[in-house]
Amino acid sequence: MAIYTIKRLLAAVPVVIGVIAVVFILTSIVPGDPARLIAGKTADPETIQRIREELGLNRPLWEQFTDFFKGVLTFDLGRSYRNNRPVTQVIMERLPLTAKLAVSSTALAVVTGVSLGVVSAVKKDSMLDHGGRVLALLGISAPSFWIGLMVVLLFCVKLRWIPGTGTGDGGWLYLVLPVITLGMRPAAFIARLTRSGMLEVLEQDYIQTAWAKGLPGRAVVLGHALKNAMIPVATVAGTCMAEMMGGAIVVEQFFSLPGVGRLGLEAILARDFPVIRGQVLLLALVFVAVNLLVDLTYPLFDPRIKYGGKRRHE
Amino acid sequence: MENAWSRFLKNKPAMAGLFLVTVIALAAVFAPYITRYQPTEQLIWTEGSKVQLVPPCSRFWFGTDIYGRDMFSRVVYGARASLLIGTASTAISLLIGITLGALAGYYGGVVDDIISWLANVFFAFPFILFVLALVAYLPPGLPLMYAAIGIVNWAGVARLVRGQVLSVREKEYVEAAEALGGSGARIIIRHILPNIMAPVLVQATLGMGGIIMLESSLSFLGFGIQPPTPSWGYEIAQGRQYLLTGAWWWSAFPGMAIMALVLGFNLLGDGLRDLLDPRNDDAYGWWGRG
Repeated sequence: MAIYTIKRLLAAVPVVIGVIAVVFILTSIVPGDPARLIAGKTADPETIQRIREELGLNRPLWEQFTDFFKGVLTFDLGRSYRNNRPVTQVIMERLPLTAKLAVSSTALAVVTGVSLGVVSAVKKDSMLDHGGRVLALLGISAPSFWIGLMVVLLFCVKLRWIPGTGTGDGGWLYLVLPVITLGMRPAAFIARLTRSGMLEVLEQDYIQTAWAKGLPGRAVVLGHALKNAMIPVATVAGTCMAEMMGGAIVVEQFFSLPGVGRLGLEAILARDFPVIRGQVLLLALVFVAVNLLVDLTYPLFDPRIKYGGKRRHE
Repeated sequence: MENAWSRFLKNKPAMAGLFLVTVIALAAVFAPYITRYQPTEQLIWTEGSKVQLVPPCSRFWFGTDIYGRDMFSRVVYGARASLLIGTASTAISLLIGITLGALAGYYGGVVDDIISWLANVFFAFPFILFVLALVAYLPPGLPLMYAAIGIVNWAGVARLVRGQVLSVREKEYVEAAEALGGSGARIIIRHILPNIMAPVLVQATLGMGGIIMLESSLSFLGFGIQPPTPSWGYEIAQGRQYLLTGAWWWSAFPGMAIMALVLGFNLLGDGLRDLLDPRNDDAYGWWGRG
């Protein structure tokens, strides 16, 4: 296990280096001078030159890259152009809200999606199955911001159950609608995956044997079948969560939530390159880490998966 | 093939998908003939405030917006933007993805290592943030937006093509072509690509839905197609502000249009997979990153 984990970590190193390089190159070659932006429209050339020197923008690009690379290794991602605060601090302040949103939405997606998928598979071709499949189809095809709009219309305008947007007093109530909005599409997708996985597993001989032994339905479906249909679900749930950490921009903007996604949007609009770099980097690292964690969960669902591809009993 | 085609015709969801895509594409092409008003025509200048935020009725099927513009016209014309970006960006991602994927799969070794590494780097990128940054910093214009979306989407295509090329590289017909002295490029183009295009076509169709959704997200955030040109995502963002006043139609109809088009491509892609690539029966392709 330890060797496998180390191997996977080492394999992620070139990817992370590539991400650092691409992020640096892209934010360095875009048109527009950050020094001029910081100095303001009315600044004189001397002031702009001074800021450029302070930021090190007058130095050769490779030197800037080396500094940036060293900074990444020591968690020093520079300072925000907008407020001169450390980028790590700016991002870390916004991260808890987005993490809360991503974890809750993934949990909602997995619970709803798996339940719907299992019911659909067990009651194949019933009204429940047809209804679940139509729901999943529509859920996959609707953009998240439109789903958000419809849930606001239903819960805030028509029913008046839940407050609309913003974080209010920071309570969980304010996260209910964003979590539903963000979790709906992955839930629909997981429902589809679970259904197709379960249908395949339910036809296997060992399931027939379990039925023949007279095991109760719940034990066969949840104990024997579901466990074996969970690997693709775990993969997708992990990918969804990693993407939500970076892709919740639309939902955060929609519900006026001050998370990492909105920070990215604000940084892009203000050309705050250190924050953009830091954020892209952080989210790429989250993506790599979540994928690694997902890989490590596979043996929980299928003990035959011995790390490295060999079977345990061989 | 005839058997496969008749199977496709009998596949009701796939036919429903084909129907949805065809109807929306025809509406986009013939928009001037099926709409009563120009999408940018502000009727408040000629008819006053009585045409502001009119609910759906026999004159304005999808209602009007705050400027007295006919929402049916804006939704129908908005299909042009979605379909154009979907097609152009898919073409760009296919061009890059097929080229790099085929090179990686055919030549292997260092070429494969570099291309696979690059694909992994692009996979790890926070997708929407990356596209937003590209769209925000590149000079404004539609071709650059197609390119930005296409560039970030190539990695999935490349990975698929690489895998497919690896599976046919050792086949006798490829070895025969090599023995006859064919060049690498010729073997890839003439012998390998035609035999691996089925799953690529399936992925491209399924990917269209994801790209259309991404374009609508960009427009929703104000980074996509610029007004007054109609775009579904932008309409939803605008209509959202009037939702609390009860003007639900401004956002609801563009949203339904996105859903119908994405659903159409998803169903069609699924049907094509049953037809062309029945071994690969998972639902991964549905996961657009929009």
